[in-house]
Amino acid sequence: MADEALFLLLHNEMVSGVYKSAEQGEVENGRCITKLENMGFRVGQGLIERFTKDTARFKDELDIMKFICKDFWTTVFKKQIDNLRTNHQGIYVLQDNKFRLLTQMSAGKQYLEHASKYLAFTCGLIRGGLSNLGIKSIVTAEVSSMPACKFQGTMQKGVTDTPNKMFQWILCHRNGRLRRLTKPNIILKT
Amino acid sequence: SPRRCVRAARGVRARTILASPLCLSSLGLEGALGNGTWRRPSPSSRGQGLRGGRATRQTLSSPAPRLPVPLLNAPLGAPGLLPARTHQKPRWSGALPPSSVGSAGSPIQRWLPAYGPSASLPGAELKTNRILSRLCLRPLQWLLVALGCCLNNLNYPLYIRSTPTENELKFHYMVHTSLDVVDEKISAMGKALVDQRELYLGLLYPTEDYKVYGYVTNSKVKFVMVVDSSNTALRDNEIRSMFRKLHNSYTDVMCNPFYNPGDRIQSRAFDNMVTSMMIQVC
Repeated sequence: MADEALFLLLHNEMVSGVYKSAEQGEVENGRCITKLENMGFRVGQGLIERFTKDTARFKDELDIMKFICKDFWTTVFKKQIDNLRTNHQGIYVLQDNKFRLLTQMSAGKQYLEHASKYLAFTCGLIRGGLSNLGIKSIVTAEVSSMPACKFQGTMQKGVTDTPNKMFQWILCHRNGRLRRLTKPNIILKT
Repeated sequence: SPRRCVRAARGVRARTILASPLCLSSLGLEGALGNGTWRRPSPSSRGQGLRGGRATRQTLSSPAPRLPVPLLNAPLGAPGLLPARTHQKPRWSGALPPSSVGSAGSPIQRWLPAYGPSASLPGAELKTNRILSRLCLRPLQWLLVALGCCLNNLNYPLYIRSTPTENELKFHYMVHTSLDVVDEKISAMGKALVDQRELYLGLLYPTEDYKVYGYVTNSKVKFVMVVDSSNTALRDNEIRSMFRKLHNSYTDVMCNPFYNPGDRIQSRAFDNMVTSMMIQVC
């Protein structure tokens, strides 16, 4: 990131732009946060691809979370996550005591109700990064007092679905057939 | 008798296997039916020429090979079989495919397929999958560059390219089976076969004609490259640098807003990079 102010201002405008288009009826009410999160998702996917290009391979989930807390956060927000907690069963809590996107807003409880809009993009960012590294997750954020905030990620191990219109090559080793299935398949992983 | 075999081969046009017991026993498969499926030969469909019990028993008893068998490496059988079909010209030595763009420049560029959806799908090239094209096989540097994407244990190709386009299915098969080897290498079972922190996997396994190299990114995208073994000028460092270039281009593709992650790669910049790499090798 060249200068953090660039992204900060752009992000603020993005949020207000999405909400303005909601008022004009282009986006349904209540879908603004989803829209921002999806934007962050796609950005996160691309960013992670760039950032992990030169790093060594990750050993496990914890390694990935540490990478997100340290390198990823440093590159995007110029600081590290202050606290990472996990219950070792798929739930991680990232705590940032001075979240860059919120420092300009207030230093206490003022504007608390609007804070969630400004965290949606970052939630998507984390979710996109994790999904590109192979982890499906749900990321939520909460703010109790600005500018500190917590991002909670829940890793999912369960149903995985294929994108539509993909070719799937399944080789049955038993009888040596090579088949090409064009129907989307839902694969359950227990 | 050889004459009966020739008649069978002529009669059964869609099945291009020559009626040679040696041929069939090394393959264990019937061949391309032209519609994308491969079938284990049933006794009824095998043709009259093979009623000799010896051939049948040999084929049935050989187990399906674990490593990919070079499907078209089988010897062509008795010389008496060849004159029956030599009048057919191998397809790829002739004119450009109709969908190619650009002029026929160097001989290498003539063989590179124009990028198009049909060029990279396995079904499109099956008509050319004739064994007799082996007759005129020149010592080419065959290079297949393939990307496989893994999304939660699903492996499907994002991009496959080979030069020349003959026998593409064999390469697809090889790449698909090499995914097993890739999975083995990246699973951290403490075997220390490969440095766990490295992205480059090195030589996956050598077959008699080809060497297969692998590379896995942190985002679980696998790059597989198949190179002709006779190309001894290609050293490890060069392969590494080729994989780095591939990875860089893939990263650019990923950051392209017009690309949805998980789709096939349609970017021309990526194509050009791969083309230049293949030209450099060949």
